[in-house]
Amino acid sequence: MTTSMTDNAREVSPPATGSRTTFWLGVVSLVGVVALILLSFFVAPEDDDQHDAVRMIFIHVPMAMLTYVAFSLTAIGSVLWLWKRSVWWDTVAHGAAEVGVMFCGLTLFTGSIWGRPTWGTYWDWGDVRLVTTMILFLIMVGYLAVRSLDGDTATLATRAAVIGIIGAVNMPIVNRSVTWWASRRTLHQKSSLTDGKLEGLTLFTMMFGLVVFSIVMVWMLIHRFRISWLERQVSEGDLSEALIARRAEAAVVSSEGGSK
Amino acid sequence: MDDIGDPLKMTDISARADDLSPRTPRPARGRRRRIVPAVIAVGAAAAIVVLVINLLNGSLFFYDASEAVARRAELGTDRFTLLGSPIEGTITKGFDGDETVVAFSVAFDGVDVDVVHFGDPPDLFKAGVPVVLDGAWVHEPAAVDGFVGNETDGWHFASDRMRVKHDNDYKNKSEYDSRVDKANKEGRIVATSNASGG
Amino acid sequence: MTHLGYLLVGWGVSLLVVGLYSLSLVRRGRRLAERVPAERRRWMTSETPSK
Repeated sequence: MTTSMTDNAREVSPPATGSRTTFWLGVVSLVGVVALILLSFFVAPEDDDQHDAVRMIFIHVPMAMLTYVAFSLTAIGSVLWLWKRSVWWDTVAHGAAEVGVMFCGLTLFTGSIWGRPTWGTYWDWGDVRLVTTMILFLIMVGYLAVRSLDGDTATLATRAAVIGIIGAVNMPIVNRSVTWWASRRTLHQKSSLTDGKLEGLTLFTMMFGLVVFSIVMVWMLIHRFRISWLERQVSEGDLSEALIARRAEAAVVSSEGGSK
Repeated sequence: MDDIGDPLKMTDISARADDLSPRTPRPARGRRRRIVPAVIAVGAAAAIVVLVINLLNGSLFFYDASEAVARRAELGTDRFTLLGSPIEGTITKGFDGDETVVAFSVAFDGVDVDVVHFGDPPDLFKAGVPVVLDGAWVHEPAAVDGFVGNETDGWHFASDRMRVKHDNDYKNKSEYDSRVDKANKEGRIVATSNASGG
Repeated sequence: MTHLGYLLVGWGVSLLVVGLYSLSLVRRGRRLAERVPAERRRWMTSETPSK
C-alpha cells in the first residue's frame, strides 16, 4: 500500500462499514420497502378464495427465492474456498450464509403464518416441502455454528464449506418437492410463478417485492463482507501484537541467558 | 465492485505462516463462547436426523379417495390421511354436543367418499377446494341430520383434522372482469373473449 | 381487510427482523472499524457517512 493511499484513506474513512454505494442502496431499500407495503396492502387485489391472506405472498415468495440465492452464493464460495483457497470467496460464503439463514427463517415464519388461514394449520411435521426447508435452515445454522467455534480459521472454514455444499445439495429437493410429492406428501402448492398462475398486479407486486428484497440483500451482503474482513484484520492485529510481545519476551530471555 | 474491497490484496491466511516463528495461541474466548456454538451444531444435527426419520416414515402420506376405497380392506380401522375435493351441495353442518361437525362427500378420480369431520373446518373450506383429512374408515353410514351423502356402501370416513390443500391459481375475478369490460368499452379487445381469469 | 391479524404479525415480524439485522450489521461494522487502522479499511472510497 502506498503512502498516498494510506493518507487518503486516513482522511476520508469513517469508522464504519458504510460507503457511498451502501448509502444509496440503503436509501433505495427503505423507499422500496415502503412502496412494497403500499402496493401489497392497498393496490394489489384480494384473491377470490384466500381474500386478503393472499397478501402474504408478496413477502413470503421473495424471501424464499432470496434464500436460494444466498445459499447458492454460500455453496459457490465454499467450493472456491476448497478448490482455490480463495479467502475472498470464503468471506462471501460466510456472509451469504448468515443473511440466508435470516431469509430462510423468515420464509418458514411467513409461510407458517400464511398456512394457518389458508391450510388451517401452522405446520405439519410430515409435509415434505415444510420439513426439507426446515432441514435446510438447520444445516445452515450448523454452518454458522461451526464457523463460530474456537479453532484455526482455515480449518473451520474448510469444515463449514463442506456443510455449505451439503446445504446446496438439499436445495433442489426443497424446490422440487412440491412437484415430486404433490399428491402425496405436501400441502404446499406448486410454484405459482413457473406455472404462470399469477396475473396483473398480483404478479407485478410479487416481482417488485423480489427486486426490493434483492437490493436489501445486496446491502446486507456488502456490510457483512466488510465485517468479516474487519474481523480478519482485528485478529491479525491481535496476532501481530502477541508476536511482538512474544519476541520481546524471547529477547529478554536470551539477553538474560547471555548475561549468565 | 471496487466498493467491496480488493480481493487481490487479501492475503491468504495460510500464506502468512512465514511471519509466525513462535505461534501464539489465540486469546481465550471464554468457556461460553466455545460451548454455545458446539451445542447449536450438535442440536441442529440431531434435529435433522429426527426430521429425516420422520419424513421417511411417511407421517404425512395421502391416499386419494379412489385409492382409499380400493384399499379399504387393507386399511381396516387404521388412521390414514385422505385427499379429496368436497362436492358442491353436500356440505352439511351439525353439532355433536358442543362440538361442530361437518358432513360432506369428497371426490377423486370419479370415486366419492362420505366424510364426517369433527371440529371447525379451516376458513378456506368450501366445495371444489381439495382437503386433506386425518382419520379412519367407519363401517356405518354417516349420521348427521340433513346430510345426504353421495356414497351408499355403508362406510364413511371419520376425520378429526382437516387441512385445505389450496392450489396455486390466484385470481380476482371481479377485478379481471372489470378490466375486460373497460378494455371492451375502449375498443381494445376486438375479438369476443369470454375466458375468465386464471 | 380479512385476516388482518395474520398479515400484521407476518409482515410486522419480518420487517422488524430485517430492520434489526440491518442495524446490527451497521453496529458490528462500527465497533470493529474502530479497532482497525484507517489504512487497513481499504474499501472506503467516499466521505458519505453510512446509513
